[in-house]
Amino acid sequence: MRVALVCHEFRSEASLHLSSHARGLGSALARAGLEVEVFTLEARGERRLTQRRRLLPVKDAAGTLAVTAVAVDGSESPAELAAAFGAFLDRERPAVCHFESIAAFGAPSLGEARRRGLPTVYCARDPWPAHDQLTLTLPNLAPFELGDCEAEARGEVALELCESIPSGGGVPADPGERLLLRELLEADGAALASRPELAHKVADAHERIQEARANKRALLSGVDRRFAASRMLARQLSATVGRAFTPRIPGVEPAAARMEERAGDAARTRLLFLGSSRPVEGLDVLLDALRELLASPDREAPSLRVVLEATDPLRDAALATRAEALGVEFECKRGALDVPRALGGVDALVFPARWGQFAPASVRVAQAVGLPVVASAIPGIEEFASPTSSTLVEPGDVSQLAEALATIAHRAGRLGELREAALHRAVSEAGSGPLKGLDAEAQEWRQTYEQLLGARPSQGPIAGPPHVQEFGAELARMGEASLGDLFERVELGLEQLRAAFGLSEDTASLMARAVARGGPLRDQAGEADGCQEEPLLRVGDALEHGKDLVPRPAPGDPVAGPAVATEADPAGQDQLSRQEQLTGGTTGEGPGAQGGTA
Amino acid sequence: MTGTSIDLSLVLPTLGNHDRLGRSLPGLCEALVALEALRGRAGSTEIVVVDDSGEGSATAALPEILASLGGEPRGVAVRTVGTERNLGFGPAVMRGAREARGAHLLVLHDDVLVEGAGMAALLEVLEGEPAIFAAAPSLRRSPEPGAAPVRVPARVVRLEDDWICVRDARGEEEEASASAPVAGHALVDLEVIPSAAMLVRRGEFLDLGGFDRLFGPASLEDVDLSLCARRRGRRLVAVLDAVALHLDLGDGLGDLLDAPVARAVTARNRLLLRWKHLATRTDAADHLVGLWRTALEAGLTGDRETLEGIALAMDRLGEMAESRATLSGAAPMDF
Repeated sequence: MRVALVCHEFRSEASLHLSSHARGLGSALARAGLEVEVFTLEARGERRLTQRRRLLPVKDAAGTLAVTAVAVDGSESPAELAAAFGAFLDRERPAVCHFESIAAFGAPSLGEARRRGLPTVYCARDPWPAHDQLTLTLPNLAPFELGDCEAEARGEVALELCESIPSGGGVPADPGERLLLRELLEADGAALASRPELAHKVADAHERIQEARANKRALLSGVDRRFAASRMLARQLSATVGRAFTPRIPGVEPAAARMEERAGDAARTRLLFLGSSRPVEGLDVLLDALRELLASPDREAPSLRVVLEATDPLRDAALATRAEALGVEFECKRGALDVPRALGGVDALVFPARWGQFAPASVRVAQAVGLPVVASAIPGIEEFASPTSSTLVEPGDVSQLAEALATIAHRAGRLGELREAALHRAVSEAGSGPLKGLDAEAQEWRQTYEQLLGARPSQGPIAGPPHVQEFGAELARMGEASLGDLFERVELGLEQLRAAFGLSEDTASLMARAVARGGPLRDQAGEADGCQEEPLLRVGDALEHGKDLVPRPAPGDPVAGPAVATEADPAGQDQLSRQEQLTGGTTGEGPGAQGGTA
Repeated sequence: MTGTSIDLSLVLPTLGNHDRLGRSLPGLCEALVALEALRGRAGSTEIVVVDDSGEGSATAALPEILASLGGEPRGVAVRTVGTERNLGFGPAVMRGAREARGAHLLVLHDDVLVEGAGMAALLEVLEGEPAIFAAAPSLRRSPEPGAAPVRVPARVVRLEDDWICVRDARGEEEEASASAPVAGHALVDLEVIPSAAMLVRRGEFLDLGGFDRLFGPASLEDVDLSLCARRRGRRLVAVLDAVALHLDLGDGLGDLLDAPVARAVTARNRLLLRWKHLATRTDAADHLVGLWRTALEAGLTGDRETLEGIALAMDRLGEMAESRATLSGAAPMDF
């Protein structure tokens, strides 16, 4: 079964991507025996909408994982992305479309899948079906509840009016904007009404948000099955959007579960922050708490390692400076994070997020390897970090977090209890609970896809007598093959034909002659555009690297060799003698197609 | 009929449509009666209706149709041969040919009429010239309903950019030129014998392999047969004073198959035909160069239809090799 996995971001080089589940899921689905075709967007310096497909190796996989990345620069319209997606669907012919993200693609892309009669699945990993503000925080990082349109509207207006709000949220640098922000976010309805210009803006924003939500509701109505990454998210989205969402807890990458042995200074408790510098994740709160501990000589401070996925260079650098001043081991990089190495040798994970967490990857991974967690007591974390195996603190409360860290650092018994509970939970829930593995999740998806395919109305046979219908069925099976598969079949057949005809000229030479003929092949190589360019790149890559499709012609091989026999050509004479062998010396009139068609 | 050898077996494959058989069978019976009278050989013909419906439709329809002739087919032996399942035109003809008892086979579509004199002319030509493998009547059809029938042009086989192309002859250069008359009948040599109406010697037809099931469900099996015969140096002719009328009740590829299916089967069969009859390594190499170019261009432009056509043909490489092995002078292939 071939599945299209649609996501806005896919980092091929990382086995675990904290901010996108698609990387790990894609590999797991391939291990479950599925042919996974990822469709994603990539900001790269190529012509807009150029598609590039590459096959990723997946260890122990019965299936395959390939990624088609569309070059984008942010100026693409939903219609353009939909056209690119349509071309991808026509080329790869998936049986099911699994959307890990819809926001980046929009309704037209979903329409492309439905127009082709493909079953669709969507898994919400954030509150996008209800809100565009995905962390559910206001510009000052104050939380709001999922479904609170008024709060989101006020936040939108605040962002529009206050230019000095830091990236990702926080307190505006400008004092006037600080006052305005406070007034806008904290005023009750009556107070806001006394500022008609603000009230108008909020009302307009409110209307826009409601309209967007109605559009999303209509869009989601067209999705065959809707899931959410946590029970809490499923419950709240179902209630807010008015469309049913089923919980589908994400699994944990097995590689992440191979935690390295604890090493180094065992006498000092070592903590890990694994995430990003986005303010909503609370790294600044953690650094404040550590500074408070270090300033109290009577309290023992643990050591801290911070491992970040790069997001905002300025913000990352500022936090790095602060962390290093506190003696924190700080690592921030773009691309692959070595999560097993990051987890190695630590005693607990700290994740003091302010809000806006829905099945956070770092907490799930830590819990799955039996690592205690010190985290914020917010619903999105509590579902995964239970109080028995974790220490939960009020979000944003620096003192409470400092106290929790000191307790863990000072009281080895408390750490031992938490570790024992975490390990027990990791073992008991590894198969199917909230800490299940990715392979278990992949099996759940596989079952969902099979159910959807089973529920599809069967297509009737083509018109005509039975022997025609048999051919029609053969043709229909052919129609399910991807363009790449079709090309591979043709490529294999051409090689078989070459061998069966006993040709001494190798495939690379035949191909080189084909290209050397020029004409449409060269023209199209130069003119292929947008969505149609991916096969061109594949073929181009094959010619360049000689590994995907056919062997590359060796230097010195003839480009357009003199393989055609002519009287003047000795090689041709040789071929003629072989022709006689081939044809048994038959030169009588009408040698088959030759006589009739030459 | 005891003691009388059968000269001619008329093989009529059909899906059992009552209207079609009702229009053609009575006329054919009358033609055979006339033929026997002309040749003074009563009981020397038979009609083998090959019921290819797979469900006995023709067998069920036959008594009523024959009854319309006045209760009996006026001395003509008519029998049905059923297929256990619907096989398609080529295999159905082969089933009929094996079951037939005549020295000659007149293969007809079930909506084609030939008069007795025409049948006699075809037989005389085949009997008079051993080098001829097959003789076809001059086929007429109405260009539109109600219009007077006109002659159907001969078909020619050409290589266009290395792809086999079978089309109607264009202009005088491609029209078949007259050959020396045989038994007083004017002839033209053909490149392709039409499967709609052709007379062959039964033994030679079977020996040559007849219609190759490689090309099922339809299209190009008659071109293949023609190429096989010509490979042996045998002639294909049209007998100008033998006329057949194609009633055009819908038996063409376009009638039988949906357009995309028809295109796919034609694309596949054009390749199979080319491969089966490739004669030299030079041609094979040139053909593969052309095919590589086609495949690459199709890959570049996302032209699924072309790739599907090639892949469908690739799926039959083994059968093609077996078929090719039956050709005289063709090198064996091993897939």
